Amino acid sequence: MGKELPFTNSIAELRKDRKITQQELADAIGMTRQTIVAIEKGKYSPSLEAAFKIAHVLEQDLENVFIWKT
Amino acid sequence: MSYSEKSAWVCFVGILAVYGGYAFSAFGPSGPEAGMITHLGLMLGLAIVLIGGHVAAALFSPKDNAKCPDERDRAIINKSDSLAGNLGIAGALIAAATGFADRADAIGVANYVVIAVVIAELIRYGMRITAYRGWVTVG
Repeated sequence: MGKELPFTNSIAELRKDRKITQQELADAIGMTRQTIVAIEKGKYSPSLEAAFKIAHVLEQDLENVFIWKT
Repeated sequence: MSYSEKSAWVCFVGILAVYGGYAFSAFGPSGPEAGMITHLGLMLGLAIVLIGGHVAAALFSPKDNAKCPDERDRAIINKSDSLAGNLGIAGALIAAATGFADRADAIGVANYVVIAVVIAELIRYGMRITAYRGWVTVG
């Protein structure tokens, strides 16, 4: 029922390509697995710092991970 | 389910169970005197329920328990605390006004205020649960 975020993300695809689990990604950036789940599903908008950390772990530029809806 | 979410469930169910009993005794057939007599016992019961519940939640979420709340946890906590704080104050004022309007005695006014605070607390933990479940978007 919550508001829809103005961007999508490709974290799940990029994570699976690199064979990284949600728990491993969460541990790498100091978050809980539940927060990673919420970000992947578009239920939570991460901070800029967390977004950069996720992109760094996934070895991607930020705009490849988070895509603004046009 | 994360430790933070389990903690919210423990608080919500604990407060509902213990203070639901209190409300029944305070506003039920036995009247407000019974509510006052049992109040301390219920507060002690709530403390035991919350401590026991949090110990159980920590045992079932050892990984999460070792971590500090992350940014999503903090966002959920801040939003629910803000809402519950405002509602608690408004509820306590309405409860006091209701008590005066009813010409209630001190115990009656106290019971109205306690109920208002309990409702605010239930909203606090209810909102945390809905946010953790993903039913509302936070952040």
